[in-house]
Amino acid sequence: MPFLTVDNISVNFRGVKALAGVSFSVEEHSIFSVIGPNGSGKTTLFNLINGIYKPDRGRIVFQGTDISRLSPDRIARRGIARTFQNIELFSRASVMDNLLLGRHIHMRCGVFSGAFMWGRRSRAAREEIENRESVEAVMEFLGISPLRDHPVVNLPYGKRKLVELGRALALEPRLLLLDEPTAGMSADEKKDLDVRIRAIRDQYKATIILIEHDMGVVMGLSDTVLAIDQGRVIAEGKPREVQSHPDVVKAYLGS
Amino acid sequence: MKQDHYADVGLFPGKSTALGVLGFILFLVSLPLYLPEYNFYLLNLMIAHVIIVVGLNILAGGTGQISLGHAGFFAIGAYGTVLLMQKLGIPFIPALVLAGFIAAFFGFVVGLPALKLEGPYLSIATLAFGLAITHIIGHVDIFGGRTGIQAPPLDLGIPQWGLSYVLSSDVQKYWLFLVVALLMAAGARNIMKTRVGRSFKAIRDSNVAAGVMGINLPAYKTLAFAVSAFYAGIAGGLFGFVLGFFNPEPFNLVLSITFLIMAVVGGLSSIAGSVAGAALITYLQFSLLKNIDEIPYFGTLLTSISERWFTDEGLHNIDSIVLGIIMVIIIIFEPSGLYGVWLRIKGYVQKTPRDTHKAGEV
Repeated sequence: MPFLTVDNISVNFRGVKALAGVSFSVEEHSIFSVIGPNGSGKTTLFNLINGIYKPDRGRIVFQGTDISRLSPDRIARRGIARTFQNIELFSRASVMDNLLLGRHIHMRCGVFSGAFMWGRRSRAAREEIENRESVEAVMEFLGISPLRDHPVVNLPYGKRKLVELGRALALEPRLLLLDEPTAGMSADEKKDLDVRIRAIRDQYKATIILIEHDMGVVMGLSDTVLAIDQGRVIAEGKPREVQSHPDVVKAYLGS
Repeated sequence: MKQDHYADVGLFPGKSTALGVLGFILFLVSLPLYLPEYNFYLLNLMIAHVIIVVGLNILAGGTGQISLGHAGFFAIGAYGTVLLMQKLGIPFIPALVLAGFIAAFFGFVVGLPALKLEGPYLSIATLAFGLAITHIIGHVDIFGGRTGIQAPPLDLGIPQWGLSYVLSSDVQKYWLFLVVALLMAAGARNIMKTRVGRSFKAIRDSNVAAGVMGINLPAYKTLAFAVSAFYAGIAGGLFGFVLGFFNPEPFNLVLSITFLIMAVVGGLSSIAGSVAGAALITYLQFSLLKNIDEIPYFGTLLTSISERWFTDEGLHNIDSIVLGIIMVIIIIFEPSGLYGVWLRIKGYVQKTPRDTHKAGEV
């Protein structure tokens, strides 16, 4: 049974076909890249996997269950986390609080146990301490520990991207969706991230789907590459095969 | 690497704050030693307002949803407590808590439109609730109709069992109210520091990301209303005993707006700010501005200006005018309210760059 199967999925926005019959499947512990020109439907695909959009037709099967009609929070509970193309952080909260929100599904504390957090032995305090420690480990992994108490609004772009990645990792995802993680990064930062994404797969045992424009990053990282254009799959396979596929070349260069 | 994570979530960030807060509490407890009895009506009123504004802040400052119907929850708390005591013979404390939960239930129901509506549309929905509730109360006999109802003696014991401990003076009530307010404020602060409060703030900052991180948006949006209404209910329960005798009239739209002014003036991101905002505005509205014409020279001057150009009734609406001006000034110059002013002062004293988003914010 494949880890994730996207089965003939279609979605329209006011008559505009955003995705038309897209199918593919992703192996566990692989790095799967989605490429395609702007507006080809890559982010729409992520929004469908996340449950932000619902497909008009087709199914998305994750570890044996159809998740295509579930709400985003239920999908998150199954272990799917993501980052956004235009960073969606909780801007008025600190780095720590942002990452703690990634721990949301692993925490239990409700209004009452929260309100009665009297002393460090209370249930809420023990849960907070435990989860703050695991967040600390994620920060260490990404090298953002010194920023823990900084509000994210004041951070530079590259750091905010890392915080967002940290928030997704704090969720301990089985499937991690990264939407253009290297956008706006310098060459050095890109190289760094390349190493980190591999480390995420190996240390966090996550499967990764990547939307990426930088072909260098895609070629170096991916086990499989999927190329889409105007909502349709035009090629799928090993990075080299896809890169030299005539339809891909045409879509990128224009005919 | 940080060693003690409890320091981040514990009630007091450090020893000095703990001492400061303890000192302030001692001061409040000992107030009856220095203040004459007649001040305690106003102080009790302040405490009721502090509780409701802290609750309003959980909603407005937390999730960013603005309620114009909090006077409605306030009324439910006041009527609920008194009626549960009178009609069902429930002792004061359980009646108060129960009334809080009834208000919370109404809060949950009023929160349901929040799942579809946002911003001003949601506020209008809450406004409709606030207006409807007083009309319903005014038309039902059990609520005393337009004439109103009389609160029973504030008995902390169980009178049916012969255990009676009646708080008759304002000072005795003050101590009780103070304990309730401290518990409620500490609870609010804890809620905002833990999982639920963080989720509220996440919803305010980014709906989409909150959902994707596993926060159940419908549940948390309505929960915020319920928690906020619970605070309003408790505050209302106390308010009923401040007034003693009351009818639906004071629980009007203006009161809802006044609560919002208190929350904004205090600062929508801080519990301490809400406490300060509620206390300050209550003092202005019910003490200073009521008696402003009695201030020598200045009061006479204001009255004559008012009579010359505005009205022949003296200083009739000066409290609304001044509150409006304060609100405008706060929004233009210090959107984080009194809490922002406090951070500014602290910043000058410590000579460190000011950072309104730093620790302490909820």
